[in-house]
Amino acid sequence: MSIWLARIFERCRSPEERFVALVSPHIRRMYRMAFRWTMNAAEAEDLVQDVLISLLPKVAQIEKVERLGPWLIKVLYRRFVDLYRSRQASPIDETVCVEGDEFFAPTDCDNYRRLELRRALNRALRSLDGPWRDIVLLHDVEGYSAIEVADILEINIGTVKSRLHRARKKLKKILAEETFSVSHACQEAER
Amino acid sequence: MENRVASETEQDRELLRLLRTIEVPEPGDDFEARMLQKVIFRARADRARKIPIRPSFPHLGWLPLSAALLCAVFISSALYWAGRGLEPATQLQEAVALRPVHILLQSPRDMPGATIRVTLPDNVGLDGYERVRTLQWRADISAGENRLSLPVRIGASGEVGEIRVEVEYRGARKSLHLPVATGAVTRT
Repeated sequence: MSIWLARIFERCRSPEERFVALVSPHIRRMYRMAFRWTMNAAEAEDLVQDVLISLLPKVAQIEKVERLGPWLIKVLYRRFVDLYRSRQASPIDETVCVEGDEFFAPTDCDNYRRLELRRALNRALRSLDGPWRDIVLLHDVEGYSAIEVADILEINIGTVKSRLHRARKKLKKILAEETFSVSHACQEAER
Repeated sequence: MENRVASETEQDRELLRLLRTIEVPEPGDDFEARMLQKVIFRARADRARKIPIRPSFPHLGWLPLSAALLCAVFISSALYWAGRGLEPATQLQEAVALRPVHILLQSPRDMPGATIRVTLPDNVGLDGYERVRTLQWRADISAGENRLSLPVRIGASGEVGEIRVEVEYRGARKSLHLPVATGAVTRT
């Protein structure tokens, strides 16, 4: 009875109100993921806004989605690929700055090694191929399950697992090299 | 063998721990509200009218515009003087007067069929189409400098807004935000 009543009241709300209620809890995570892909705050906001504008007229469709969070990330990813990744072949891309180290400024608790390690990680991530990096960002950084990642990226779960394994291996290799040089530099400085 | 597996597992754990520390700059406490407000506003504006392409704006059609790289923007000297030394009555009268806004765009190469989109804030209206907030059209962009001139009316209330110019070409997009405020000097 209460579910029935709730549905009636739900239908009384305007589509915009229903949209706001549905997507609000996921907007911040969409932004986080958009930022990880674009490496730029303004472009991440633009990307999220773009996706939400396209979804606003589709409230009824959104209401039927079982797991809205991953589904929104999937839509976001598709839009990101359409708009941003194709820049690689575009003359507009020549001016895009993909550096992200400014977000890793040292805090009081950060020592030189930790900061360098994070910078090295950032560089290592950027050195990965796009599809590998997407999997690491979704699975290891944002915590989506392998099944969710497979669904978001529209690839099979076996591919997710194998790419994740290879990406981690490469990251560890790069980090091992970089951290060795950092440690060496620190030891020299301490002498 | 067991030691090697244990070591790899430990390395994986360490990597995972490190990956989880990668930060994203916080967009602010009101991010959701701000974002939804923009989205709903844009959607309503889009619903209110379908964006006409070139033929519906005959006085914009001649503009040999747009570009890939948005390099410089400036507002006309008339706008510059809007907020300087005018008496209040004059200021009010001037504030709603026509102000041409010139946007200089520079492209490194030709871009045939690029899409140009200009979104106006609440306090700015296009002369003759005051209710239109977004203009969009396609143009062949030539290499070099291109000038876009918009005959706009700036509101009198001293509100701050921004003109947004976007250029899309082959799926890539570049945007530029130009702050506009009456009673203030605006230069970018």
